[in-house]
Amino acid sequence: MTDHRSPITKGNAMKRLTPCLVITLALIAPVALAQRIKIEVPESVVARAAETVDVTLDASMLRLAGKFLSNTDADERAVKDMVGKLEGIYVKSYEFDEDGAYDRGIVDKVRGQLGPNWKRIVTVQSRKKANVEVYTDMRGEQIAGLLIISDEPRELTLVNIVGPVDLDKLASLEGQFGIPRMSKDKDKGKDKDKDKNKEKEQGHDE
Amino acid sequence: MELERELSRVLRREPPPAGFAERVMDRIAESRPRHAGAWRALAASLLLTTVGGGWFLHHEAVRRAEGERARMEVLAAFHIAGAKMRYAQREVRKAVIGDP
Repeated sequence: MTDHRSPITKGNAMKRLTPCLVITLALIAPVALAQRIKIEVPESVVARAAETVDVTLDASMLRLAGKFLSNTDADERAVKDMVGKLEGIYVKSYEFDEDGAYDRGIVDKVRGQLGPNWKRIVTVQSRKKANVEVYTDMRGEQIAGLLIISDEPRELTLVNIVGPVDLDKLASLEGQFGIPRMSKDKDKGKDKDKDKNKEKEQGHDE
Repeated sequence: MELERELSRVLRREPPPAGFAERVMDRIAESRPRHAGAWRALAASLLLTTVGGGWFLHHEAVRRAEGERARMEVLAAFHIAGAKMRYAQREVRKAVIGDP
C-alpha cells in the first residue's frame, strides 16, 4: 500500500501551526488583557504627592528582572518563583502631605473596570488606618489576577498583578529587600526613606 | 664615417631577452616587506576585536542596568503588595477571631 499523504516538511508544518498559534494567541490575549487594570492617576494628583512609586513591568521586563533576582536570599527566591509565572506588575503609590489630596473618583474608575470574574475577597475599613480592598480574578481554582486598593487620607496605593498569584506567599514576604524608596523627592536621603518605610510597616503591623 | 657606423651598430634597437619582464616583476615582489600581509591581518583583527568587544561590553552594561532596575522595581512592587496583604490579613484575623 502506498502512502498518498504529502510528506511533512518544515514549510508544511509551519503552515499548519500558524493558524493554531494565531487562534491560541487570540484566545489568550483578551484573558491577559482582562486581568490588566488600567490605573490612571491625573498629573495634578501626582504633582501634589510628596512621595511616588510607579512600577510598570510587562512580561519581558519581569523575565529580565527574574535573571537578576538572588537565589540565596529567601525572600528574593520566593519573589523569583512568583515572577516567573506573571504577565505583568503595575503599582502606583502616592503619599501626600495633607489629607484629601486626591479624588476618590480615581479608585471608582479602577473598580469600574473589574469584570464579572473579579471577586472582592477582602475589605478592610478603618477610620484611623488604611481602607484596603483585595480583588482577585478567578479562573477556576486559580487566581489569574490581583488588584489591591489601599486608600488613606494621605496615601493612595493601587497594585495590579497579572498572572497566577499565591496570596499566602505574597503576604509572607517580610523582607525590606534593601530597597531604597523610589521617591519623587530625590534630595531626601536613603536613610530617611528607609526610616519612613519602617514606620509605615510598623503602622500596618500594629 | 666609420665612427657613425660603429655608433648606429651599438645603439640599434634590440628586443629584450625572453622572460625579462617576468624576472623584473619577480624582483620587485621579492623586494616588498615579507610580513606586510600578516601585519595588516593582525591589525584588522585587533581593530575588529576592540570594536566588537567594546560594543559587547556596552550592550552588557546596558542590559545589566536594565535588569537591576527591573529587579528593584519588582522588589518594590512585592514589598508594597506584601505589606498591604499582611495588613488586610491581620485586620481580617482581628475581626474574625478577635486576635489582638
